[in-house]
Amino acid sequence: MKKVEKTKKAARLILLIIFLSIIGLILISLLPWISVTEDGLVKENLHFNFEMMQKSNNKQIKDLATDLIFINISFWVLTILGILSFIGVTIYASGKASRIGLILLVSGSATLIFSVLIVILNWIFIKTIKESNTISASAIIYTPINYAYIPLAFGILLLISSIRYTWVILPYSIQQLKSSTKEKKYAEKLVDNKKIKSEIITNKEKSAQEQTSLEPKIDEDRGEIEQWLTGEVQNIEKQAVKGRYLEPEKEKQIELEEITTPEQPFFEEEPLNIGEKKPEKSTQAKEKIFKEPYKKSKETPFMYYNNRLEPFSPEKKEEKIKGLDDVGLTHSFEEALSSAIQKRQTETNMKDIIKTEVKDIKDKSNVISKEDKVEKPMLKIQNEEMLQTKEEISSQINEKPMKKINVKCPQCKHITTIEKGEIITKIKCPNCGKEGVVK
Amino acid sequence: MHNIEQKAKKEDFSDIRKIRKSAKEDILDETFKKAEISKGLRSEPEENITKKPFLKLGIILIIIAVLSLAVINNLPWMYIKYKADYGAVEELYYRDFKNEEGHYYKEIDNIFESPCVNCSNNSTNYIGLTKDDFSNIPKNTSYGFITLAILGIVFTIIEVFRRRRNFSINTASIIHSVFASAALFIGVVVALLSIKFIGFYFLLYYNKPFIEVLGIKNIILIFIAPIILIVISYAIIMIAIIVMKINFNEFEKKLKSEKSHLSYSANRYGDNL
Repeated sequence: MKKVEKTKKAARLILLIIFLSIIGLILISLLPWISVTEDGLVKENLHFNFEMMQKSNNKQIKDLATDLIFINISFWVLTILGILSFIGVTIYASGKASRIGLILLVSGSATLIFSVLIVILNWIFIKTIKESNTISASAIIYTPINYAYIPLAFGILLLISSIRYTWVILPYSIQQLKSSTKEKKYAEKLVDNKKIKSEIITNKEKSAQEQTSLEPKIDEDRGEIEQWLTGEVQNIEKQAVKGRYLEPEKEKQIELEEITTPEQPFFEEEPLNIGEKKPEKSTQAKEKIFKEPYKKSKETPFMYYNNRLEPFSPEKKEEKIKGLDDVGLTHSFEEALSSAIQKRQTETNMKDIIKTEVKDIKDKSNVISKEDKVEKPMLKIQNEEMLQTKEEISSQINEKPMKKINVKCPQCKHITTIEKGEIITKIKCPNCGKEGVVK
Repeated sequence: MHNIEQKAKKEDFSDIRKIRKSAKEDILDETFKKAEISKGLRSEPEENITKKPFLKLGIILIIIAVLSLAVINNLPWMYIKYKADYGAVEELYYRDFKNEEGHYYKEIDNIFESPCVNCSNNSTNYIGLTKDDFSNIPKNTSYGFITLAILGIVFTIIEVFRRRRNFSINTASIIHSVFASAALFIGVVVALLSIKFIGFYFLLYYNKPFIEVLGIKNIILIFIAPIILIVISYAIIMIAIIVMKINFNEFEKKLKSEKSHLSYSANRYGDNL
């Protein structure tokens, strides 16, 4: 809170300085300062104001006028300094270009010098009038107080306020300036890092844009995979009854001689009757098989080894046994299938959940409508519960995977990244505040 | 017949069910609405996006400048009424000490340019004003008001530019206060130029015997245009100070809110934030 207090104090003092210096300027050109006894036709005191003193032929009066000119200039300087320092305070309070603001604030402390000058010059002016025999100071009507004391009083007030200002602002602003210079140096050191950062950010943006362009392709692929998986699931369900899963063509080739017990794995007990030719071990053949899983040769038998279709070899018996479960499927493959099924079911499940929730709510409301005696607060509580369920449902719907998209504001052309769900999202530009909808 | 009766009964029941259903739905809707109102879950009313305020300081300055220029050029600068040996004189003097009726009075000239011969030659006049002041001061004040009008035009252009280019509010406020301070300076200058004429009244009181010697009695002097100009310059000074203060207060409020937020977060999450 130091900054707020300091700026507030500074603003008050500066306004006071401006006000006092303007009054001082007005007084200088308004008041009669001196009087001279004339020996002409009228033997009375002739009063002089600042203008008259400047145009006088008397040398003593002219010297006094020069003092007043200096006082006048000092008041002008004080006014200008006050205005500048007030601008400085506003700039500093705004937080924008605070360094310039601080410099202007520091320059405001020069008011101390000029206020001291005003007091001294005023004192000299009064003293010279007192010392002179022909010139006397003009007095306020019906009082012995001289007009010359009024600007002196204003000068003293100005001095006090400028002392306070320098006392409050000068150490603080110098401290702030020092810290800002340190920050500037630190910022200069970080310029290179910033450049690197900006490069990274641009690269990231580019990659994000590429991702957004790739996303529809990925979705298409995913859809194809899901279609394929659903077909596979149906096949698995059929094959699961038999206790194993293989390609239908190869299934004919691989024949089980005996299945002693359904609990024990069949590979251990009974060896499979494989075709006459032995499986090829070369990598090229394997690659061919992997690339074209549906165009397999009729001669070689194939088995799934950890999600891979490979030619069957009795040496890998143990591995097979570990990888397969009771049904004869690999765990990883099973997991993939289950995830695909789960994905499929999520939407239907969500719909069911919503339906059931709505039904429940309706039932509750029916109960409430039937029981007219139920008090209003109870109704409120139930309604809140209903709303909570509604919120939960909506939150469940909103939990669907989010996409990151770069959006350009049509008004200020500011680019922002947003997370977009399936539902229409409302967005607000962080730069200009324009609202829009991303479909 | 029995079947027909049963059917009729069934139909009646179905109607009743339908009515009940509709009634239930109505109740449900009402309860939902109430609940939404009590909970505040309803779609929030759109925030009133405040339009950027058009700062009218420039327009005000232009109006003031035009008004003051009109005052300088059209209103009389001096109204004088006195009793001379040959009778009462009542005259109006405009800018550059021009009398529209073309009257020439020696006494009026003597007020502004002292014909002192036997006196000690301490002063050329007794009221601190010369004939030249009636031509110099209007010229200088009109220059001042022309600069004020230029300031106003520049500020209005900047303001229009700001609204189109979306300047930040902070920069707009800073520009606002800078222009206001410039207007304050011009206002002070104009006030000090015209204050000379008010100083005359002090000297008229103190130097009355010297003026009466010139053959002028019961003198009534009103400087119409300078008094109006002083009022206008006072208005300019006040407007400028108010604008500067308003801008500063806005910044101060922002600063306070920022600080309070920071202190809250510091209390909650630690000072290292």
